[in-house]
Amino acid sequence: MSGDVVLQVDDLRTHFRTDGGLVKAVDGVSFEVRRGEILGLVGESGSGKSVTNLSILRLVPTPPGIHAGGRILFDGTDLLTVPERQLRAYRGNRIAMIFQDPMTSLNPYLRVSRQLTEVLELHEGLDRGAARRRAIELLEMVGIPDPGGRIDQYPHQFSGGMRQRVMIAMALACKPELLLADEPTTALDVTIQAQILELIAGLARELGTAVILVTHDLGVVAGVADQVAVMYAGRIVERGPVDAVLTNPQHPYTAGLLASVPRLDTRGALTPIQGMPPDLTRLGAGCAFAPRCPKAFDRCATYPAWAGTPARGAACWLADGGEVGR
Amino acid sequence: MTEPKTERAVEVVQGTSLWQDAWKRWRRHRVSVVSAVVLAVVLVACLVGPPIVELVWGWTYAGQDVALGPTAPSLSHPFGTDVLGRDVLVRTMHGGRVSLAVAFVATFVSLVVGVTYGAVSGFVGGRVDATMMRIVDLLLSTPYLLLVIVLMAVIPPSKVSIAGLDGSFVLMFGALGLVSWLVLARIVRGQVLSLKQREFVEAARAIGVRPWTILFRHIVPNTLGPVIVYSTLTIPSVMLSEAFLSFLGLGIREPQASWGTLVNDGANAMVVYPWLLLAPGMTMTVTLFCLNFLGDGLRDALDPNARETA
Amino acid sequence: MSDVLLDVRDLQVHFPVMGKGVFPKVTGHVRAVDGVSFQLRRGEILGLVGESGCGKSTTGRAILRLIEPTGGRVVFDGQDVGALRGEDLRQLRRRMQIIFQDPYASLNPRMTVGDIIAEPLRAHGLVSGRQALQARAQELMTRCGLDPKFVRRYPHEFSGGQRQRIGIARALASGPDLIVCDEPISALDVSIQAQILNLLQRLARDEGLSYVFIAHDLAAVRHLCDRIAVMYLGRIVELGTYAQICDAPAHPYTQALVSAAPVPDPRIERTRQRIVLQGEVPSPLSPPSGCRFHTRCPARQPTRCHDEEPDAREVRGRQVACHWAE
Repeated sequence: MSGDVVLQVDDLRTHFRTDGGLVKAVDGVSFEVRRGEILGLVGESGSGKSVTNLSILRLVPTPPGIHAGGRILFDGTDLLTVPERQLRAYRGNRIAMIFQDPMTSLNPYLRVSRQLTEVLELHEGLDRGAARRRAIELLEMVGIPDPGGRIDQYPHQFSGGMRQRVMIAMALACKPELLLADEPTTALDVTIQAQILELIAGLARELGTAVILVTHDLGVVAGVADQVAVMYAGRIVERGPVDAVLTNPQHPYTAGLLASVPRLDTRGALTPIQGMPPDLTRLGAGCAFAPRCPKAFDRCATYPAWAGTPARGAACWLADGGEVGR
Repeated sequence: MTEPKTERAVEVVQGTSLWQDAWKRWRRHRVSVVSAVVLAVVLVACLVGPPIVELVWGWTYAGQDVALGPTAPSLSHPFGTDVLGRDVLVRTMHGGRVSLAVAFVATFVSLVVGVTYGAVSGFVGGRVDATMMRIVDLLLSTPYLLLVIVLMAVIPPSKVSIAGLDGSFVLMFGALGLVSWLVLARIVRGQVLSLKQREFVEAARAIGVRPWTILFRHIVPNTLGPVIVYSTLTIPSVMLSEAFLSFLGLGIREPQASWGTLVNDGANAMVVYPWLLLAPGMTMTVTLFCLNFLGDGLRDALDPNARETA
Repeated sequence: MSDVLLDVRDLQVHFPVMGKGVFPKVTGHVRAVDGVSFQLRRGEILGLVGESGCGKSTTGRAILRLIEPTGGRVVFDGQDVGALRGEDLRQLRRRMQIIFQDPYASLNPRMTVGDIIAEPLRAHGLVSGRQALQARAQELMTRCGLDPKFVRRYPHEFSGGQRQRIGIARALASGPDLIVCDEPISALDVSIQAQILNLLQRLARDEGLSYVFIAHDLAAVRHLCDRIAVMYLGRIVELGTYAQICDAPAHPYTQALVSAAPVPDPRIERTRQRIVLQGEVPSPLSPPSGCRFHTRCPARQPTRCHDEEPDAREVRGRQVACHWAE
């Protein structure tokens, strides 16, 4: 394994048992993230992007979730098999996580200072005073004005954008090697979104943190990600450097997404993807996108082999390096 | 799932309403279904039991056989007889009629009054709401037992006898109905207040639907889930109240019987003739148990989210 | 018949804020909408954009009098909406409709789709008889891209995009002239957003509808709208054609908004200059003196921005409320 690789996910499978049948939310996902790299994990609701992220820290509730297979290698250990206690030592320390709604992960009854210093005391072994000084430093770093005054406030006294900053400050408290960000800006306004994305990009650049950025917004990916993995119905359908994927998509789904997003810089006709995302309990053996795909043909009845290298390619019979879509 | 009756150019697919969904979920709740069956058996027994027994054996709830006196359960009298030689089985079934009637009628009254009152209060809002809710607060804060006791002590039962119904009966309905709708009205008002803010209600306003249509088509049907659950739990509490009042000698009077009076009489003779307590007591306990289980099942079925978060 | 369908003049919506105590007194007002004026021509689509809390949704609802305006006038097709009472107002609702953001919350879960769509027809006595209502509902479903055989299904049996189509069909049922679209696509998946945008566009063209299209996504607004009004803290700061606003914004706030909106093309993203605004949106409870944007404005100049409220004036063919824009 290259020394650069922080996290390697191998053939991850996370399923859910539901009333409607077995849902293969994540079904054979593989990727890796390197130091200082931002990987954009793109997909729509139900594509399995968030479940993938949760699986990395084993935060999928079981039941109804089932870890049906695969390996998640972090620093040589498989996170799927390590004892719960060792995993807890990773969480919030070497691997941090931020969510779409910061209110769900901040305790509304505790002052921000307490929540920040707790992490520092627990994982970094700092004493009270040192932890507090470090906490103020962190708040300043994420751009909260008057950190010394605001640190003793409660989460509800912060606005949405400021709360997300507090979350990021907490995530950074122990200088994690890996940051899992699940739609961190979806609930925020665009001007605030720009600030938060800038902050995350700065972390990767300056601290060398590897980031997995889960989002549905191709614009966000274009702005900050280095690598992109596009997910559809529980699998990665396209993978590659951000420039290659967004300007020369190999998979018809990626091409379809790009053609259906209204853009600020031009005003062309939108070509929506027809139909609806598939019912995950009724996936056949073929390509899950085939029913909506304008280029589907008889071979699509079997799931396409990966075309290209692990670092750049797509799961499509038409993607042998040639262009599709656009 | 197409309906054969609607044979038109376009075939129409029938949807599954939330009620049908709830019905499906409820049927999976086995304890609740068994409880419903047991309740149905008790109910039917109480309704058709007395006339059948009278027809076949000639015993009625008031028919005495002083010469026979109290006898232990036997083949001819499965629940035994009491000190006056009356068949306890018939009396239990008859008492069940009274108890269940009181419970169901009082609950039904509380349902109608409570839902209407709460819905109007929450929907109209403002001063009307404030006034209506203060009235509820006032009634809730009076010790209701005292209210009922005073009511029943002051008004002689013979004066309020309606349409041949025994006066004590009418008083019981009145007294229990008077208090049992209060909590329901509060529950419904709370529901209405939150539903009023929902977008589909705003959508109805935007469309130009008349206010009362909004209330009764859009809001009230969406409050019924919790209302039904609360009602199934009101029935046992009303039954207990009735039993308690009768136990105090304020409820149903001889020779009428209810489960409450039967248990009361049985308790007095408990040491010598235990079956006098056990027969009505057990029947009542089983009924109450079943009602509670039924309510549990209905709650899970009608409000699946509550179960997940609980 | 005048060309102007909707004339909004100095519209104000102030919500009283109650103090605490047994007999609460009004302690202040949230100035959600504070002097908004614009005109909408027949067949025109006007975008209303801004960040959360800027008052755009409140403006939309105040036009329809779903929220009572506290000042100003709304004139719809020559009728003063604010002066209408009871039955007259109800009659007017036939001609002004709304589409909501949340396709889950805006449909009554206990009614069939047919009943939901036919409700405006029933409320205004436009069609009577069960059969006729259902037939009309099916026709509207077809027009909005829904399969009419599902007329007796319930909302929970549909996906988000389909539910939004149901909401659109309901809004169309009474044959309105104006539809207020309150963020109709922001709760939908990316691939579905384009479908709904295209549907709205087609309907506007085919039926000659006018929209007030409320959104926070500038790209979607640019795609659909003829003119765009940008709101900040209860006021319109800039109003012009889509090209004026998106390609050459004049107000510093519009400039920041445009620069922050991501474009799904990494090559363009790298060349863009992002204007990152300082701080947060001030509370509408006590908006800043003078120009409301001056606390965050990168182009503010001493004393005048702080002291004097800028009036809308014409700059390069559009209305701008800024002292310095040119």
